[in-house]
Amino acid sequence: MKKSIVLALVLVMAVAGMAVAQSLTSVISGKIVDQQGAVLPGVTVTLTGRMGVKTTVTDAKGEFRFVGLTPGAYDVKSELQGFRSASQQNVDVTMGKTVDVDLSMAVGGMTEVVEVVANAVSIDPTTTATDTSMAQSLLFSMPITHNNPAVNLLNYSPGVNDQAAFGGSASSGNSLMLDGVDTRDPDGGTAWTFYNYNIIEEVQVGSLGQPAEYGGFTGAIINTITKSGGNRFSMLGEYRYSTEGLSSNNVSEAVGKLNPLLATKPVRVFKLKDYTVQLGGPLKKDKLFFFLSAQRFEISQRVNGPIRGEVSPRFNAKLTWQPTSSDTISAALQYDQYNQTGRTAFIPGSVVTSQDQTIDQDSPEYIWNGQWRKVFGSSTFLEAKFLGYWGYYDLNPVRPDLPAHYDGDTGAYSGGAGYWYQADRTRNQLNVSLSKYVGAHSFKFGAEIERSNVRSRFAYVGLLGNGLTGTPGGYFYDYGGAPYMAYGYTYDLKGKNKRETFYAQDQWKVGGGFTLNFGVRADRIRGEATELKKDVYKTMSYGPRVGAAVDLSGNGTSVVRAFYGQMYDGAVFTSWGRAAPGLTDLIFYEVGANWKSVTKVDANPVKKYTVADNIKHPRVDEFNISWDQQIGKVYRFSATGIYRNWKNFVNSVLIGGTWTPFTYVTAFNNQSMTLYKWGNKGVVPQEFLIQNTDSVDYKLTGGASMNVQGYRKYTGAMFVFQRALRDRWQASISYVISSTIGTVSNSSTAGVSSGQFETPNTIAVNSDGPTPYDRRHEVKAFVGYQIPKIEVAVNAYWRYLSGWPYTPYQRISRSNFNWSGSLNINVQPRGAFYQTDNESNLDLRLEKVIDVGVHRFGLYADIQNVFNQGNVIGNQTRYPSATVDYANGKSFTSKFGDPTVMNAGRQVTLGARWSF
Amino acid sequence: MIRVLVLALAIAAAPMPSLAGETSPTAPAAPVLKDAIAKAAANTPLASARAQGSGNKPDKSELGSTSFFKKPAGIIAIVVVAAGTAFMAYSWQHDRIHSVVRKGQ
Repeated sequence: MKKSIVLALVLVMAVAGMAVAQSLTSVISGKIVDQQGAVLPGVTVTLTGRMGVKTTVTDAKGEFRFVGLTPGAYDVKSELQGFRSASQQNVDVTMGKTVDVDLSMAVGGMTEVVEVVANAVSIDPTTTATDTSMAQSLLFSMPITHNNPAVNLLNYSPGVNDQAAFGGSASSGNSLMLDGVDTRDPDGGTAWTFYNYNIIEEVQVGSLGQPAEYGGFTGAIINTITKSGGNRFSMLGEYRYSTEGLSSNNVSEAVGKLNPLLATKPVRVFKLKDYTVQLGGPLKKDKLFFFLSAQRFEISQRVNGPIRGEVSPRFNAKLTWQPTSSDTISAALQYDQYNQTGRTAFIPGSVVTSQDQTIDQDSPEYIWNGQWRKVFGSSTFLEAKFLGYWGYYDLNPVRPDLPAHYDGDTGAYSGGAGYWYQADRTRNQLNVSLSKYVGAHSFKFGAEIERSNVRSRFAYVGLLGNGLTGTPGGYFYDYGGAPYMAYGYTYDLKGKNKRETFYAQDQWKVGGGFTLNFGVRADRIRGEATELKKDVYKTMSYGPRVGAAVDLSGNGTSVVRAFYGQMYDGAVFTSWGRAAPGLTDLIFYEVGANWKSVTKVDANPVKKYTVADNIKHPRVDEFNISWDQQIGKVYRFSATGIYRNWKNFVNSVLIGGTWTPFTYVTAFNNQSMTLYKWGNKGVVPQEFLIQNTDSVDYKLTGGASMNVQGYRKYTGAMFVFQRALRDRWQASISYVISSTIGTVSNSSTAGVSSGQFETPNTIAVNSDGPTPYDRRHEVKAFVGYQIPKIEVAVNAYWRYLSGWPYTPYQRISRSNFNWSGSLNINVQPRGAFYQTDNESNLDLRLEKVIDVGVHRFGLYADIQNVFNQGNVIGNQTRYPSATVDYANGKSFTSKFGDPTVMNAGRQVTLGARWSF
Repeated sequence: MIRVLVLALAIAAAPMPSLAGETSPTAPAAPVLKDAIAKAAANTPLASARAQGSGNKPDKSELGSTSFFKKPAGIIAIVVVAAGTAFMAYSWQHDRIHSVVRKGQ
């Protein structure tokens, strides 16, 4: 049959993303009309994808819909007796998106096919989720570091920088999903699973305006869908390599004089050998598919201080079965090890002088993942996912015979890494959801059940030898280079997170371009102390989400959105784990001459913690309003205003404590400060209540009380400009201006656990101001260009960030406070006067792709920090100064403000890949 | 900061001539479809929305049959994948850092 191309046949070809249910699957829908625009019922629509063929018939309105699709490329074809068939090929539908494919059919006897390949920006005119993700075509072409995909990819998104995501903690407040299920460490909420960058099929990054189906975050989310096999055999072989000879030193002479450690030990990669091999395809056509992947990732690098080595073998296998055209079942397994050397412990990386001061890490894990998708006709879709893992990581000191030393007078560290740590984790989660399309409504209902186990063991190495042999373990606190005291304790904490979540949401296309999105998410989270067999942490939370999208143009090219929602954090052991038994007394020792002997002199009974009955789970309230404008088919501009306010901070407060104010004059600037001494020590025990600390009243000696506010707020404006690939180039440029202020930091788990509220000194004194990860200005630019003639792709990523605020602190002896330990007190208002260097980095990838038949060969070079910029990204914050052991007995004085951490210099990585 | 913004704006402004060209009344109203397809095909290396080797497209080639693996390229592919997997398995045993406190586990 002659195949001709008749452009007039396809008059309408709208490809507009319309996110309904942002899940792992996708939807292709559309309308079939004749040349006069009249709808055509009864048209047979065929969808051909990598896992076979699906068919449906248009309804009375000429509409069709395929739900529950695996993301990928599809061919859509319409056929009706008496009409010429029409089709669209390579319809690329991404995770959680609905793509409209509207076709026009002309009267005629011959089957004539029109093929159209589109490449355009699109705006979803119905959702209230602000799409902050980078185009995947960019992400997979850019010089992105591969160490930990989940965290690294987030970091390339606007508003997310290293440790903060739109003001939330990026280390513990992000939802890191693998195939739609959260995989975070149930202890502190940080990343747990480390997987191969090359197993990613799709990745969705977002945070603002998320519907109710997304929860367990107060920062951002990343949802990664992994590769599967299909009817077509596919293979990938990739090798990446780098070495010290491909790196450059970016430490200036001036910085080197202030910090000889940085000059002699610059940040760089010494060795990178990373390969992946993959094979996928059919075991039985249209029915059963397999996918296998093996990687060995080896890197040796200096991140900050010691040389850190990692060898990680990772293996993935997945089977996908389609017993019927409406059922898809998959089962996947990953095994990996994360073998690390050179990890830092008590001694900060910036002052580590020897590998003897580091620890080795052993961490194997299994991840299992089963999924079932069931399609009921064209309007109902059921999805069930079960994902879990088992694993542990142990931190073993390289020198178990060397305890850690800290000199309170000079601030110098010495000795070894100083402790043992064992972390055991299991996590299992079941997600079930039902999507239903009814008229103008798109409903989704879902339930999640999570059970995760945490066991964390800690012990200091022996003060006089190996801690494993039973000698007292501890930490030496020296003074002026002479023995002063030592102390030690151990813990073995065990707990279980239990979470049940229910959500319901609707996207209601009211009409006239107005779409209402609303939903609610209910989280029941409990923390069970394993040994007590009792739930010591109990919360019930309801998070509403309300938003609207207005299509101003009527054709999806100009959309205004507004959103308000409450997002609750995931279940983490850290917030309540201190209430579980397993912590021993704190023992104090007198230290003999030359550290040859220790004598127990005192013991602080174990601190007791209980959880308040009325405790509420941490959350963030978010309001945002945005405007999306499409310009032509290629350009898109969006502007978003964001306000976030964190609530329900969790921390511990001394029960019944009274506090006596006293004046302390700091030599930093001869300013006097009011500090607080524990006034009724010995009268009340050192027992703490784990409670919400948004507002805390401290009783002062004499009867008055002092109120402090725990708070953190983010205000920002985000501007994103995108250009779809056309005429060989594409770009995505964002600028975010923001302010994060508060008394509770967005670093690590500061919002759910720390000793910050145990005395008023660390919350009431110079604690209000910009948070440590407040980046005022951020620019991220991705630009890609394909050079004609030689067909070399040039992809660049440039990042500019304002520096971090930092604050001088003084370590003040415990005797001043009548407290069990010394305290670090800010001697100036937090974040008011100092910040690290602004960062400016340009990374580049040059890639030559050669297609030979079905084979694709690629050769590339990644150049990180092209201009070898040297940015100081960490400064000495201790006042008056710290003495840093240098090498061979040499030392130097690191004064307040001196550089302690540098970014990495220029590094070239070479890569090659073969795929089909 | 001003320099940074100026640079960002300069980069952002660069597409504008193309933009103007697209909306220009003198621009061709309907490009020849064959050319459009050829252009899109030329852009494929950049446009690939997913990682290479994902097999996420409908099957239209010799890759739909196992006979592919009887050809030299298929055999080499099998050898590469097998060798890579074998070395990963070797590393699995050889590179493991065994925690002192879990000896025997």
